[in-house]
Amino acid sequence: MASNITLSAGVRQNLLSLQSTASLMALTQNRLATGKKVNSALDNPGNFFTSQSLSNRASDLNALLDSIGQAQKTLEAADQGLTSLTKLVESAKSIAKQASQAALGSFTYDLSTANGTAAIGVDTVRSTSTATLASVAGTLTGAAAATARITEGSLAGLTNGQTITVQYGSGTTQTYTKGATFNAGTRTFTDASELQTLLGTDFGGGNVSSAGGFTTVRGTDFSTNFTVGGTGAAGQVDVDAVGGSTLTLNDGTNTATLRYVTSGASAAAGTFTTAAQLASAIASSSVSGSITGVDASGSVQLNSAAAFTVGGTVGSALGFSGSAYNTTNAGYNAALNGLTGALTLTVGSAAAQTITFGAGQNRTRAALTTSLAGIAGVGVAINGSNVIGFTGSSSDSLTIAGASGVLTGLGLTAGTTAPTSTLNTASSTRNSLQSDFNALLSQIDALAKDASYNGINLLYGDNLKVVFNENGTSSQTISGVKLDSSGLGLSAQASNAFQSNTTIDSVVSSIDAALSNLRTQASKFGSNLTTVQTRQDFTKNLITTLQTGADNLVLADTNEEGANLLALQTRQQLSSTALSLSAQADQAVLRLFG
Amino acid sequence: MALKVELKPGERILVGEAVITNSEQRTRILIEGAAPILREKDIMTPDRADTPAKRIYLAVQLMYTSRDAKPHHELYFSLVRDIVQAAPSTWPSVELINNHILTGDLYKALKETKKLIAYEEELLRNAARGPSLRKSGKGDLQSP
Repeated sequence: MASNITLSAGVRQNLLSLQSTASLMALTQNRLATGKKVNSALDNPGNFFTSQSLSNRASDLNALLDSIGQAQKTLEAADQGLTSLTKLVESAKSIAKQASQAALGSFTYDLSTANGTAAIGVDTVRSTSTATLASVAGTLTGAAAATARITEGSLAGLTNGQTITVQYGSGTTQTYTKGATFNAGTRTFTDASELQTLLGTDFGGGNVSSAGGFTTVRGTDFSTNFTVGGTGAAGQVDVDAVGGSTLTLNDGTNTATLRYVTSGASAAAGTFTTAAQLASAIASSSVSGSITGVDASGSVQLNSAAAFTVGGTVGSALGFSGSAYNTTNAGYNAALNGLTGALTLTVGSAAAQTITFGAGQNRTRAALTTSLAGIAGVGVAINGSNVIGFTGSSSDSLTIAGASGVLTGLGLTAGTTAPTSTLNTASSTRNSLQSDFNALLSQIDALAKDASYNGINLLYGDNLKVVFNENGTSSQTISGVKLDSSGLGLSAQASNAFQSNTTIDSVVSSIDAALSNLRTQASKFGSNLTTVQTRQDFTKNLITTLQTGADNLVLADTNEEGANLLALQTRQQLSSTALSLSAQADQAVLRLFG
Repeated sequence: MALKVELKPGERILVGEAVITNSEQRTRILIEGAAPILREKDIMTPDRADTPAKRIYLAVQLMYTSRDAKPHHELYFSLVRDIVQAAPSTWPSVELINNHILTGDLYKALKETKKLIAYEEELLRNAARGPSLRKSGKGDLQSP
């Protein structure tokens, strides 16, 4: 039903002013409620939209702040990961060091590649005369055969029946009887010439002679003697043994007597004139199986495998001593004889050890064996194959050097040989430490894979992009690295690796490199974190200011603004703001502009 | 990216943490590197910083020339809040300065602050003219 009230002009005016007052009041109340002077675009469009944009900017920056916060947490996760990784790697280092200090297993060190190739035979006996046979010949007497001599004049005084017996060596003893008539069958004689005939028949006509009142029966060789006897022999018959200068050789079983003759030497008869003939005579004698004679430019060289003695006038004339020659006082070794110079052996970094070869030095196997036994740091001896063999006792290398003649003679090569180490018995302590080490590496792998935040793992190669303003034009990309065990340069050790200190040392240096890498990374991430945090704090402050600005758009009046600024200027002069500003400025280089 | 600087006789220039004074002749020098560079005429000293905008310039300058800008941030923000509260029309300018600081380009921030100083000067001159212009309500300056 329509209204029937009619309003007068006056009443209408009042109504209008009441309505405008009411709307003004509503407006003021609204403003008081929100505290803002500008509540809608209708109040003050410019300021309203500025305020809107400020608030929008504040919320954009808030979103940005969240993402910066996430970035910060990712960096913190990486930082913590690095701390734990460093602890694990340090543990690995201490395990490795412990292993290197544990007792080693047992090894054999093979140096046989350095062994000599020249066989060294047994020592023999050799003695060479100091004089030549020719030079001492003048002092010698040529050999003469044995004789039996009968005084012819004494035969007449024998009575019939008296006998004279003559035996040559171990031959038949011939008995000659003085009688009345000559009888060849019964060997009866009456005078010297008949006796001579009988002797000639028994001992060879050419061997019986008569001269100077003596009937002489001569022997046929230089080793057999006559034996005489009989009832009529006393005073009538005498014998002369075989004479001449001799050389006797005794090998411990047999003795050979060789005689010097002035001519007609015969090896079979054991006679000699020259050194060469003496050698042949020795070869035909009873000691030929053990002693060999050599003509050494006129001197006599005697060689034997075992000891022998030299005797006789010829022996002493030639300068041979009466005592026995053996491998100790007259040793000879074909391989070592004639070697002159030094052999030096150096083991590792120790001082060089020298064995000198020369006259009277290490020329026999026995002497060399003694010298080799005195070498320290490596086992060296003439081994079962009769060559110089080396046995390593440590991992030290062996250096062989010396005179080229000595090295060639022993079949050695100059140079350095490292022993081939073969593990006999592994140290169980080291092996268990090695498995602990490998287990740690698996832990490191697991840790590196775990250090992610929000799906980004800076320790496993992911990159982090941090955006600093709303349109993305200011940003920073932080590159991640792969820090699992292979990324750190550490690898699991295969069987028996920790048995060798060399291997452990190289593992420790890779660990040191890994630790240094971790440290570098930690400091990189640390400085990234600081940058992000600084930006974050600035952004937070900016948001607060934006919000303050949006809320406090109270003035639309530039005159009022000017007045406010004047008041602010004065206020600031008295406030702590100004004081801290000048305090900060003083510390800067600005004071140079004072 | 090298900076070419021409110095008048006796002019001073701040490079990093050092002050270089020119000799009696005009000099041209080339400066490379990330060190902060400020000519004498661009340097604000504390005793000359007597208005709010100039103080903001000093704060930004401190951020530019010091190694660690963080301690100066708090001071900067309190100064900025004061000026925006007193004269909200300065906000767009302050916004630009903030942007430059956020992206790390402090030299541009200084340039922008210089414009703010100029604007402030206008406002102050306007206020000093006296109450006769207040009647018009808006004054003879529009906020940018």
